[in-house]
Amino acid sequence: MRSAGLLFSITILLVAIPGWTSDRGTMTRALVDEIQRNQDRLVLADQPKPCFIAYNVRDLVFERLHGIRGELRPLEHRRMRQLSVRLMVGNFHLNDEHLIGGWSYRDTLFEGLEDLPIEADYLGLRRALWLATDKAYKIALEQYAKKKASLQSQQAEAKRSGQDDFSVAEPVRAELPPISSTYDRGYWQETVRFISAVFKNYPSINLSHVEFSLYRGDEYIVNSEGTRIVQPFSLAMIEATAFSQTQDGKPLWDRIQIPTSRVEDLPDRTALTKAIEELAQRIVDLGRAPDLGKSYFGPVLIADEAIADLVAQSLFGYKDGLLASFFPVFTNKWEAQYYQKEQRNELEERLNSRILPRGTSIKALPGLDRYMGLPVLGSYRYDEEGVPAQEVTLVNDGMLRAFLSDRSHTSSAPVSNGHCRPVICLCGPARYDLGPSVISLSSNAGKDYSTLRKTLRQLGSQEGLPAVLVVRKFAPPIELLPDELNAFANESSQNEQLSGQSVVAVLVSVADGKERPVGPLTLSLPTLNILRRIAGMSKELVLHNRFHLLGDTRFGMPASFILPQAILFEDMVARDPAHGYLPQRPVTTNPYLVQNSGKSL
Amino acid sequence: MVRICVALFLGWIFACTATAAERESDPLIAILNNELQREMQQLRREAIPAYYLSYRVNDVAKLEIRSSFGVLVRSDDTRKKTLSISVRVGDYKLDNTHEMRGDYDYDAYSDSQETVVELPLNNDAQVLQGLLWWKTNELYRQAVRLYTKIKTNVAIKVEAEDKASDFSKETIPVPLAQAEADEPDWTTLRRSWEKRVKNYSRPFLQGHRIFGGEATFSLIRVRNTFVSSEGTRLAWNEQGTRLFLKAFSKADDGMELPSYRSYFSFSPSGLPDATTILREVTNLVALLEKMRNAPPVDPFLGPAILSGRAAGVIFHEILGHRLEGHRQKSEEEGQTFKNMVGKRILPPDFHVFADPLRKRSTNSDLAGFYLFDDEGMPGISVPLVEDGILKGFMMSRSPIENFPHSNGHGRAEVGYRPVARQSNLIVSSAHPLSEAQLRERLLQACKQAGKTSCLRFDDIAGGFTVTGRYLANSVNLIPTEVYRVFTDGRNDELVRGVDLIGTPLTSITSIEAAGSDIGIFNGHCGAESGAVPVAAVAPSILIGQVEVQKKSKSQERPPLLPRPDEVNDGNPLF
Repeated sequence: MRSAGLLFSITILLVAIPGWTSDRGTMTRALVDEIQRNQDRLVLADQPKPCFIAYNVRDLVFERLHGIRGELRPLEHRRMRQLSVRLMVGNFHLNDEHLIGGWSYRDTLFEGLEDLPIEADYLGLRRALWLATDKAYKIALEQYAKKKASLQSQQAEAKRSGQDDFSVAEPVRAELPPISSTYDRGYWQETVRFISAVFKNYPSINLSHVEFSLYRGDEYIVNSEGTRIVQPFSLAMIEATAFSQTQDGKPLWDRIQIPTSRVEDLPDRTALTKAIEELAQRIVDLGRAPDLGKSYFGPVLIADEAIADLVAQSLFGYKDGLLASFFPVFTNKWEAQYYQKEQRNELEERLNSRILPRGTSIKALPGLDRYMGLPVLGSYRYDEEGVPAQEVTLVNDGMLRAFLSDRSHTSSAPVSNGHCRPVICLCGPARYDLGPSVISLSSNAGKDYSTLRKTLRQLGSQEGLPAVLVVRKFAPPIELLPDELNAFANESSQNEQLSGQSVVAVLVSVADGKERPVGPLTLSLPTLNILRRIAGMSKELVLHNRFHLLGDTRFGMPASFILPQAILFEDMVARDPAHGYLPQRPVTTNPYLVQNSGKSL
Repeated sequence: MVRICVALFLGWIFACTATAAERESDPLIAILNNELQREMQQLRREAIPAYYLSYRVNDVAKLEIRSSFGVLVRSDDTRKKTLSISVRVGDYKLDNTHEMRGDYDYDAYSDSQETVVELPLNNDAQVLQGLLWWKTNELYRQAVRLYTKIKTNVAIKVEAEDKASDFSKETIPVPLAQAEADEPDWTTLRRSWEKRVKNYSRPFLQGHRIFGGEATFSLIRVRNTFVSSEGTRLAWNEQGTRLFLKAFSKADDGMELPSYRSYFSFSPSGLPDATTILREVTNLVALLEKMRNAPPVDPFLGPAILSGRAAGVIFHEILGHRLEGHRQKSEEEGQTFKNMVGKRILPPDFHVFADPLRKRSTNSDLAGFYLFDDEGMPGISVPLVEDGILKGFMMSRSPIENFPHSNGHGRAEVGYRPVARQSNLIVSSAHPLSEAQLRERLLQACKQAGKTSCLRFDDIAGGFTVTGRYLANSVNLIPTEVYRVFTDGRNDELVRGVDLIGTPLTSITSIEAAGSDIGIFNGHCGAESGAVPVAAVAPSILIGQVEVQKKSKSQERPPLLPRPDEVNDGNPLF
C-alpha cells in the first residue's frame, strides 16, 4: 500500500468548507475507517489481498408526482442510501474484472443484510459496509481464479498485451457544497395536476401521463488509494407521455422529457403547459398524416430533437461508438461469439481514421456548466471513480482521436478521462457506467438551415425523387412507456433502427419545396459509411439536455449534447413501422369522446 | 407444476378492521358501476359477448420501519391504489378461464394474471372511466382470443373428468359500503415505532457472531371496492400490523442459522409490549449462540412431536392446499382428496375448519380473517374434516362436481386472478392429551421403533408443497428450532440442519394424537394467485413417523473480519 501521507499531499480541495457537515462527517468517517480496516486485514489464507477497494454511496431523497388528466396518483417519497462496493484482487494489470461468463453463485438466503442504515450512525454504517465488503472480496477471489484459469487455456493474453485491467488515477480529496435548491411540493403537485389536465382537451388521446421526479442528496466516493469525495447529487425531471391509436389501429405515441439538475431550472407552468399542448397536438396531427407508403431511399435531413436522438444512439450507444470498450476475457467460446457478433464496438479499430466529414469535430466538455446562458445538465467535476472530469477531443477534422474512458484500461484509452457516470435507478446498489458528459459536435463548414434544405432538394432531384424527407422528432421505443401500453410493447425497435418511430416528419417536394406531413416512419441507424458521407450540417448549434438511456433500459444518466440544428445525410432508408402484431382498437366507445361530445354516459 | 408455500417472513399481513359504520352509497362504487354498465352494454353485443365483468380496487397504505442492530435501515410509507379487472366471455358453463389442457398457452398464463392499473388518489369520474375503458378492452381482447382457443381445446381433447361449470351462479351479497376508516396520525405512529424497533433490535448486538439482527414493524391499511355486472357493490376496510424479529448467524461449517419471531394484530396496540419483545430478543440471541454449537442431525425416520405452530404449517401444506376447490378440477393437479369425501382421513377426534370469520384464537389475532373474498363473496366458515371424516373443500367461484357454490375462499394478491385459497385453518381435537401425556406417547413410540431418541419440532419458518402430478406430490417444512428427545431421560438436546419432508397421504395417516395447547402461525401463503395472508391454528401433534432430510447448506464462509462493533483495534468496544 502506498503511504496515506503521500496520497493526501497531492489531493485537490476545490471548495473550502469549514469542517464536514454532521451527516457527511459520520458517513465519510465510517467509509474511510471500514475501507482502511478491510485493506489492512481482509485476507483469506493463501489467497491474495484486495488490491483496490472503493465505496460509492448515494444518500438520496426521491420523490415522484404522477398526474393523469388533472388527477394525482399517490405521492411516492423515499429516503434511501444506495451502496456500491468495488473490490479487486490481483493487480492493476490483471485482476478479477472484465470477465465475461464467469458469474459466481452465492448460496445464501441472507442477502440484504448489507443495506445501509438511513441514520448517521457510525457503527451501523460500518456493519453494513463490513458485510458488503466481505461478500465483494469472496466474489472477487472466485472471479480472479476463473479469469486466470481462462487465460491459461486461451490465446487471449496475447491480445491483451499491454492492456491493464485498471488504470492508475491520482487520488482526490474534495467536498463540494450541496446544491442550493428549494423544493415546494405543493407547487409541483399543483403544477403536475394542472399540466396533466391539458390532455382533457384532447379526447382522442387514449392514455396520458405526466410525471415529476426529483432526486436530491449527496454522493460519497471513497477508495483505498486515498480518494475522498463528497459531492451533491441532484436531478429533477418532468416527463409527459401521450398515446393514441389511428382508425386502422396503428399506435401513435410521443414523450417529452425535461431533465435539469436543479428543480428551479425546470420550465414554469406556462411553458410546461405549452410543451404539453404541443405534444398532444403532435399526436393529433400525426394521426391525420398520410402514411409514407413504399419505402424511401434517399437523402434525409434530420433536424431539431431528432438530431440528439441520432447522435446519442449512433455515437454514444451503450458500450458502443465513442465510448472506450475494454477487451474482455471470456470463459467460453459461446460468450466470445455473442460478444463478437452483438457487442463489438466497430469504432474501436478506427482510431486515427476518418469517421466523419472533414471539418467536423466532437468534443467532451464536462466542465461546461452553462451554454448560451442555459444550464448544462451533463456538467460535473468528478466522475464516479473520483477522477476529475476532463475535456476530450474525440473527433478532430473528421478523424477519430480519442474515446471517452473510465479507469477500465483499453488499448485506445490507457487512462481515464473522467467519464464514469452515475446510472440513475431506484433499485439495487449505486450503479455507474461509462457514458457521455457534455458533448459538442460542430462543423467548420456549417451552413445555414435554408441552404441545407436547398441541398436536400438538389440531392433528391439528382436521385430522381419527387420528394425528400425531413425528420424532426422521434418517439422513444414504446417499451419505455407506461405499463398500460404493454400490449403494444412488441412493437420493439430493432438494433439497426434509430430510436422509436418518427412523430414529426415531412416530405418536401423537390419541385416547389412545399411540405406535407407524413405519418410515423422508422429510419435506419446510420452506419459508419453513412456517417462519413454526411452532406452537410447547419452552423446553428442547439443545446439538448437529456436523460441518456443505457441501451434499451429505463435507466440512464444526465447528459448534454450541443449539436447542429440539422444534419443532412446523403442516403438513409425510411419505412412505415413494421407491425407484426397490432392490438385491435377498443371495441367500446372512448368515454373521453362521449364526454366531449356532450352525450350522456 | 404448482409449488405453493407458506412463510412468516414473506411480505405483509392484513385482516379486516373492526366493523366500520356502513353507509348507503360510495362514490367510487358509483363510478365503477357506471363504467361497468356502459362497457357491458356494448360488450354484450359483440360477436363473442362478455357475460361477466368485475372491477376490484385496492387502495393500500403501508408503513414499514426496519432497524438493524438498533439503527434505522428503512422508514417508508407508501400508498398505491390499484385496479384489477376480470372479464369473462362465453357463459357460466364454458368461458375463457377454462383449463387449457395438454399445452402451455401464453394467453392462458396472462389470463391468470390480472394486470393492474394504478389509479389516481381522488375519485374523478372522467379520469377513472378512461382508465377502466382502456384496460377493460385490452382484457376483453385477451379473453376472446383465449376463449376461441379453449373451445377448440375442449373439442379435440378427451372429455374432462370434472364436468362442473367454469363459473358458479351465486346469490349476490347485499350491497355494503363501509364508511372509510379514519386516517391514523402517521407522523406520531412513525416516530413512536421508529423508536421501538430501534430498541428491539439493539440487544442483538449482545450476541457474539450474530451477523444480522433486525426488527421490522409494518402496518397496512386497505380500502377494498368491488363491483360486478351481477350487481355486486361492496366497499370495506382492512387493517393489519406485524412486528417481526429476525436474527441470523452461521455455524463454522457454513450452515445458515436464522431465527424469527413474528407477531400479528389488527392494530398496533394489539402487539406485545416492550418487555415481552425484549425478552424474546434475548431468547433469540441465546438460542442462536446455542444453535451455532448444536450438532447437525442425520436423516431420520421415526416418531416426532410438532408444536402447535409447526403442526399448523404441516396441516396447511399437506391438507389445506389439497382441499382448495379448484385443485380438484385441474387435470394437472394430484387431486389427493377429491374422491375421499365422506371417508376418514384423520384420527376420529380431529376436526378441521376453514374459518375466514374467526378473528382471534387464544391470545392472538388471526391473519386469515376477512369479510369478503376477492371475488366479492362473503367469507363462510367451512367444516373440512369432522370426526376425522372429510366433509368438503374451500371453494372459490370455480365449482367442482358436487360442490357447485363458493364458500368465500376465492382469494388473490393484487394483480392475480382469484382461485380457492386458505383463510384461517383451525385444527382441533376432541380428546387432547396434556403435554406430559403427549411426551410419554412419543417416548413409547420411540422405544417401539427401537430408537434411543426421537425429534421435537418447536418452531418453524414455513414450508412448501408440490400438489401437481408431474413431480412427486410432496411437502417440505423448514424448521428453525428442533430438539432431540432421548428415551433414557436425558435433557432434550438442541440440534440443527434438518428439513421435515413427506408425502401427503403418508404424513396425514401418521398423525396419532393431539395436545391440549394451541399454536398459531400467522403468515403469508404464496401460490398461483399470489401471496395472501393466512393463519393456521393447531394443537401440538404426535406423528408416528416423520422423515427428515439434511437441510441445504450454504457453502459460504462466515465473514472473515469481526463485526466492527466487536473490535476497536483488536479490543472489544463494549
